[in-house]
Amino acid sequence: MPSSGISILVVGIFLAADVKKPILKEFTTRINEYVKLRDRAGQGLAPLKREATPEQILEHTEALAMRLQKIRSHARQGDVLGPETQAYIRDIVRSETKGKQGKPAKEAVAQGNPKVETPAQPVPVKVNARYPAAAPVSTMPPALLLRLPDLPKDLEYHFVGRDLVLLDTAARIIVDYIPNVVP
Amino acid sequence: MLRRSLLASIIGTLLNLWAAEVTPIDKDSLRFAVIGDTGTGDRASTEIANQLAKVRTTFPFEFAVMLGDNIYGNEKPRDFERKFERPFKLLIDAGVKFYAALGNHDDRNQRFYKLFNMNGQRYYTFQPRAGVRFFALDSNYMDRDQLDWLERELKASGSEWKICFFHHPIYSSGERHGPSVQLAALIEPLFVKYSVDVVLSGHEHIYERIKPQKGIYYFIVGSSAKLRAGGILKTGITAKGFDTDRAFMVMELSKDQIYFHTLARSGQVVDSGLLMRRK
Repeated sequence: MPSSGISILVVGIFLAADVKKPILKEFTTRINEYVKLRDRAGQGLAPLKREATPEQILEHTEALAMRLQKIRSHARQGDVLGPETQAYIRDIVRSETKGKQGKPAKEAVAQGNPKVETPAQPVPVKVNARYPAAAPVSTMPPALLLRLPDLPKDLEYHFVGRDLVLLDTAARIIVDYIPNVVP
Repeated sequence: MLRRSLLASIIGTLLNLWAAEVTPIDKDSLRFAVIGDTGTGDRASTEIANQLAKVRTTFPFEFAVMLGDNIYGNEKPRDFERKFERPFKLLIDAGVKFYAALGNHDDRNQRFYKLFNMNGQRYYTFQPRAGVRFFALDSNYMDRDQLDWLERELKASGSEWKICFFHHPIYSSGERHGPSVQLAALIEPLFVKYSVDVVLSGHEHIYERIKPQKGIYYFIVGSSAKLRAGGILKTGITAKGFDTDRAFMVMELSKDQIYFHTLARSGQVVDSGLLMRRK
């Protein structure tokens, strides 16, 4: 890797990282509502110990996922990532992945992307669907991640094919998604 | 005559390498093993684990770092048993501690698994001995929180030896994935600024020792179970590559020096050397 190439990229990424993110009221409100719901779903569940057995991890993940699915049984696409947020995220993803400059980001998106790596179990891109443990997660291009709205603990953005999913990593549940976000 | 003597010399060297017994240079040194992309549970991973146990009889290492893709495929309790606990039983029973980093095939909840010693964190640090600190990163998801944490921890470390390990290599001649350029742009300046000495990664199913970059030693050890035969491209950054069989490393830190040995699953030493700590 030529170091001059890295230096240029460093400057670009730090500039991007230093740009103040606008406060998306819609995003903040809806994410906070989801976190409240998840806290409610977790009530009565013993917290996962930091030195758990695989059985305890599975039991906890399953229990949390079932409760979340029940509480959010009427959830629809766009409930958490609302229209304003979707438009905002689409713009960012497009600008980070288009053209020659977007090549590293596009390559990163393909790494671990379950549509590219063809896992044993396909990932259903649906609200409230379980993200199969057998499927890898896409690597998030760091420069893109630094521009996306910050998420609370245990929520992550990932790509499945060209779709961006909002994943609850504690329950392995797809909370919401934006279809065809990668051009 | 000359040709025959040259051939004999080469064969002799090769046999010596093959039979070389890996032993510590310094009895008080810190010794550890490095494995990456181990989570298949197949024959190759078991053979690597057995070879590690064998090496440990002459090179007693205290712990092993895992460079991600610790469990491939399903992650039910029987998978932890089949893909980690059974292959590495000899080492686990001997009290060897494993410190894992997360790969793109790993469920984030592995961070709670007691035998991976992640203490419930995606990224964490540990100090096995005064003056030596390891930093385990989650290269799948390098968000602002993690970057801030890394800078804070590197700055406050005060350790003479700083060793970072994570899944995606930032320098690589691997034909499958290549270097993680965006990740490099963010974390390499921190490595340079805070004098990180050694960086260990997996992901690419090869072994590669990179020529020092800005004074930092980079290794890829992603072939401890899976292998991409012939997967090293000619790039000019390779100091040593090995892509014809599975491999692992053992390392020894002694004062200002680090000794390393890379072994194939046959036990053959495929790379070894001495590196000096950055001043």
